[in-house]
Amino acid sequence: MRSVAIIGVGSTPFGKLEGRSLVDIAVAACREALADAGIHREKIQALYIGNFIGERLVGQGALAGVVANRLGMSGIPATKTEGACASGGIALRLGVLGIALGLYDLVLVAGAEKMTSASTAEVTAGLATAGDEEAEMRSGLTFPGAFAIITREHMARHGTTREQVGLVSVKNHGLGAANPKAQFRKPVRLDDVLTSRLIADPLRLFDCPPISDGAAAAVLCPADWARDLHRQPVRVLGTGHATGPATLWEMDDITTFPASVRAAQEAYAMAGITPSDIDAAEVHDCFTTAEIVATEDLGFFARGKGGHAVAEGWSAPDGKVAVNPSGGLIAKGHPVGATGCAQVYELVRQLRGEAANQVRNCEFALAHNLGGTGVVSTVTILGRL
Amino acid sequence: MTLSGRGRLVSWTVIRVAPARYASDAPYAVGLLELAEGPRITARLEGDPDRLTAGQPMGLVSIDPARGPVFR
Repeated sequence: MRSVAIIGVGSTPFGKLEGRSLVDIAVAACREALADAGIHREKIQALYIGNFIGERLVGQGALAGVVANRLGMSGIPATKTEGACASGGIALRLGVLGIALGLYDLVLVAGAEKMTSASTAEVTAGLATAGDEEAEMRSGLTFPGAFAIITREHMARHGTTREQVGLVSVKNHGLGAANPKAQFRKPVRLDDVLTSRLIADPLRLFDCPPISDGAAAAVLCPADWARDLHRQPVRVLGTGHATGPATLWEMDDITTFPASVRAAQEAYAMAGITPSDIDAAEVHDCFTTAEIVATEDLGFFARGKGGHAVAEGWSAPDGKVAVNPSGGLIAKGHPVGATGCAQVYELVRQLRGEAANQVRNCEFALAHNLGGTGVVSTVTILGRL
Repeated sequence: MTLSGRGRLVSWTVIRVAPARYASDAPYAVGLLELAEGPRITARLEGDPDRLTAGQPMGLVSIDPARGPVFR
């Protein structure tokens, strides 16, 4: 298998992108990535694009073919990938494999979601399709609700406090404030988080990401080509992809996601590094508690200690590992299908030394993308070439 | 396996922002229960959500055609 490099990244701002359709924003992110790579669209041999609920929210299916046409790439193999909130990470994984296995030399990967044109009730219902409808979600459980159930258990089992959970939001909003692509650009105080509107007890508005529009993209090539194509290529050191239980009731311990653990193990093994080597990580903070769980599942902090770690500043940009320097899903936004690619956008810029909240001496970076309550996860490890 | 319908509450939430189909039910509680026979289940809960405590015994009251099993 060949080594793979990333030579270009692009991202729209995340937020309410008035007047811009799902296809518009996907195309915009792709064009930015192509420009960053200095690659003409005619050279791209395959497109993988992650999108979760385009049909449902905006009536747009067949996204891969439609976007390929709109980009002027008609004719190439184009594939839409779906794995709930891990749709973008899965697109990236398939793009990496396509080059690693020698099928293609230049691949465009992307993720996009258009959510703000639907009502909150429609978005809530759409997001719930990431769960198991017959076996769990028909009870009326929502995604904030599922993570609220997990939060209560994490607090009971591990002693995590409501304040520690809230500090994830404070950290991420503070980081988002400096990120020009982020949806939320204002810091929040712990008190703001703890008094914000209840969404699903005990989770409140600021424990949740916003409803967002956005797209992100990356151009991939064989590592051997990369230095000739870009002055600061990034290498894909490892990739992992795993599934896990689709319901809370099938999990032995609802405070850990086996899919994240397994995908991370695969990626670390492929990269030949350990969690303590990671300098910056974009992890799946679909809710504040999810970041705490992710840092434990990825091996950054001991099981049950993720809340303590946030309170101690261990996951701050100057901490043991910078977690979500972009502001994460909570502050940057979570246009669901785009997130996996947006994490890579941030980390490539970190490795190049160009990020908004730049982590010093960033050598190894990790992107963690999680679908549903752990039904699927991808982990990607990046380093400088 | 025959299920008795009895179990204990492991964890729960109160849904305040509901999906469209259950908008008129909100706020409502959903819980993760461990049944007496061993398996777990996620189910709608009836009764005052402010009085729920971890570990409390609960029993099946009905099976709603849309919402599934309902416990109290």
